[in-house]
Amino acid sequence: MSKGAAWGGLTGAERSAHAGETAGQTGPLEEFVYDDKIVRMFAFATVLWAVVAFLVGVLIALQLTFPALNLGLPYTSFGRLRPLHTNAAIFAFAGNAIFAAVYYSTQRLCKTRMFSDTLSKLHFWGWQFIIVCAALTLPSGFTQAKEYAELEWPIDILIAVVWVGFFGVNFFGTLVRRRERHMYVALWFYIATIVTVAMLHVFNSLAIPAGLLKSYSVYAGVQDALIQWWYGHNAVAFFLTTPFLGLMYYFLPKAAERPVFSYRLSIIHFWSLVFIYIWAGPHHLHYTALPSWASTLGMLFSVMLWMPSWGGMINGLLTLRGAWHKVTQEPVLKFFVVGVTFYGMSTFEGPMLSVKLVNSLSHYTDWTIAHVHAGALGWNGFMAFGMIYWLLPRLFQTELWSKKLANAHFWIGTIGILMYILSIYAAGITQGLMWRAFDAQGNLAFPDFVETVTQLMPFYLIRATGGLLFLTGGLLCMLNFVMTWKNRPARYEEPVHAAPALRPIPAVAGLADTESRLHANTNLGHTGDKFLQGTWHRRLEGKPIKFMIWVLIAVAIGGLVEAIPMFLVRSNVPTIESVTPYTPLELAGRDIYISEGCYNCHSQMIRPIFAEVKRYGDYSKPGEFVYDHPFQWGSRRIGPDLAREGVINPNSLWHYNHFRDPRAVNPNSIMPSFAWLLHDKIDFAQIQTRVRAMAMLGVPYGEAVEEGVAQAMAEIQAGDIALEIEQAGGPSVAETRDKKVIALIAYMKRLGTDLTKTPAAPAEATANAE
Amino acid sequence: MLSDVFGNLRLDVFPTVGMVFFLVAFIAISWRAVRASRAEMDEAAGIPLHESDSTGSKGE
Repeated sequence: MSKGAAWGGLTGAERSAHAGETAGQTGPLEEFVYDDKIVRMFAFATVLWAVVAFLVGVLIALQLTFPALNLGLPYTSFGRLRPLHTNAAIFAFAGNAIFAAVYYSTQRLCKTRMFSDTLSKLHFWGWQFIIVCAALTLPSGFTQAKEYAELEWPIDILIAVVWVGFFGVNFFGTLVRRRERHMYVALWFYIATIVTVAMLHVFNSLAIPAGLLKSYSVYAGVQDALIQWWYGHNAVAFFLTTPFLGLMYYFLPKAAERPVFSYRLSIIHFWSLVFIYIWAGPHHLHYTALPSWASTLGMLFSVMLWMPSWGGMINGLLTLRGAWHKVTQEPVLKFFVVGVTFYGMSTFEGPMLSVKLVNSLSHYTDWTIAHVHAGALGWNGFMAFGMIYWLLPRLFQTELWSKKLANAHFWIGTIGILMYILSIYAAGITQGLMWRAFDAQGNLAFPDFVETVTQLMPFYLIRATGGLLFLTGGLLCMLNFVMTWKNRPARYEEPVHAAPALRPIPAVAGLADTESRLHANTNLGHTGDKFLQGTWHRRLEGKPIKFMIWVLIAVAIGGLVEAIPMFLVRSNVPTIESVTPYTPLELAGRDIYISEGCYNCHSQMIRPIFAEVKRYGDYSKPGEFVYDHPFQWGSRRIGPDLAREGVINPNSLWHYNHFRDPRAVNPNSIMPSFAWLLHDKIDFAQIQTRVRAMAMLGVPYGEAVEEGVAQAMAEIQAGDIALEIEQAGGPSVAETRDKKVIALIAYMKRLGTDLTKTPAAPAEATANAE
Repeated sequence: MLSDVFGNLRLDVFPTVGMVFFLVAFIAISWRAVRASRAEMDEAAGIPLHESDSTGSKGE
């Protein structure tokens, strides 16, 4: 072979760059041992929390058909358990899977042990502590009411410390002292994950504390919605996609014993994905009070996102070229193939759902839930389980206990996913079509919302069965895990590896500073020529900190382009004169609404769609939400929208009876009873603190911030509502006036009434503002 | 003041600027990927396979 061929036809500059790399790898040979103990710990946590997340999921799925399954307890009601399910699935199950993947692959891709064993342990135990905190606080009703970001402020701080201080420092420290010059593409995806999740978490969680486990988002209404779905969508992007793509790029080639199909494609895949994904958040808010320019932008970038997503999917599947025969033999590959296929399907469906016309039908329905579960169970679940089965023999240095059981897990899980998503697709489309159906006279064909709910019961039962099968698969994995662990050797072998240390690249080698090939005398010409030689990116691929900064710039652009105009251009949120802050009692009621997780079933956002206006009343305006810290627009309608509840149904006794026993009011209702609100007392003294916290955020509470005023105002309003209930034939004032249900009723009666109020006289408004 | 500056800009300026950034980055990255030699790409793609993953003497 000629020298030129051996170099693959490299240009002079590239050849010198290669020489530089080679020169950098001729340092002294160093020995090292990988830390697999930490991988074993994260792998076990993955399977353990998987079972917990799936179990809670099955329970709440069954509650939609059998509401009594909450056993009449506040801690097990749907609104409180649903965030527990989503947090457990995302941050406990998928999170631990990510960490297992990162700790195993990073050490090997960098040819070094993790930067610090202490940081590894702090990361592991810190993260498990956060999960336990979530498991305790969410069922207890402590929540910020922002989907997938429900945890209260002290836990948010802990997350930031563990993520950045322990995980981030450990990871980047490992990259810095690596012995492999080129950072493999899986590491790029890990870098994007760590940087972007930190950014999203910090900005979305900014809040003013109003107690040890209570806070109010610093953003309100439209702006809060934008930031929340910038976070929410990118939690999917950078917690459930990029790290799993890193996992795919490492473990799939390992399992198939084939290099990735196209490394060129992986480069384009990476940068396109991280740049485009961050823009797509507003597609969660189509036809809401969010300005349409923002949601249209979200839609366009979501459609563009299809390309890099499918580039990655194709790259994954084609990695199996020449190895497809192994798929029939190896359960690991079966999991990976179906996982990547689900990634392709979900990333086709996502852009489709972001198209406004499709979204007008799908939004708030179970279609979204089906989409999410196709991704979470199919892509994240199967990639995680495939990785676990591949890791088990290597981590425990023995054969997998039962390949048959792993195969059984694969088939049971696959059937479970299909039963789940197909039934819920049918449920979602049924829901959407029933909501917008009209009869021949132009009236809603199903004016009673509950009709559209009872229609879904068969689908819900099939969904719960599918979930049960997926849970069974998780239990089989746990059994296989434990039995493989029991067969481990008495003492783990710790192979000693050796690799040359990396040395700084000499500038003369060419990699550090490309030389221009031109004889032109303009600086621009030289700069352009150096750029065209393309070695700038090759240099970047070997510099973790610079790489991280460029990733941060790429993701920041999308966020800033949407956030800056939303916060700084006033015309985005036209004010409405008649909109006033919630009264202290209404604020307390709103806190109860948040605490009980009502937003998990009810939206507060009427879209300018004829069927919605007909059913719920005038469509929602941006100016109506300027005091909503946090916004409560919701993302699904298991129950009806409540944006105009105060206008549609101001009857206090009806609400009282409904909270006590929904089925006594509507026999087909699937809402759980909130009987405890009829006994638990309002903490009137606490209301003052909360009003002051809201005032700190700029809500004009006027004299209500003075000591005792908010409390007195709340007590008076509570007495009025209690009297109204008594006069309508309900229980006596003495029995109800200090109960939580009264505050919640005050909030219900307030919803949507701002538009029908007469604006305060200018003098009064000025006094209030002062 | 910042609000006044941004308030007077047309809204389509923001996505247009973002789009330009993306296109420049996309073309540059694609250029780098297309220009890379096969040997370099093959070498990078093979990195995960360089390392053998021992299952220990009990698992061999």
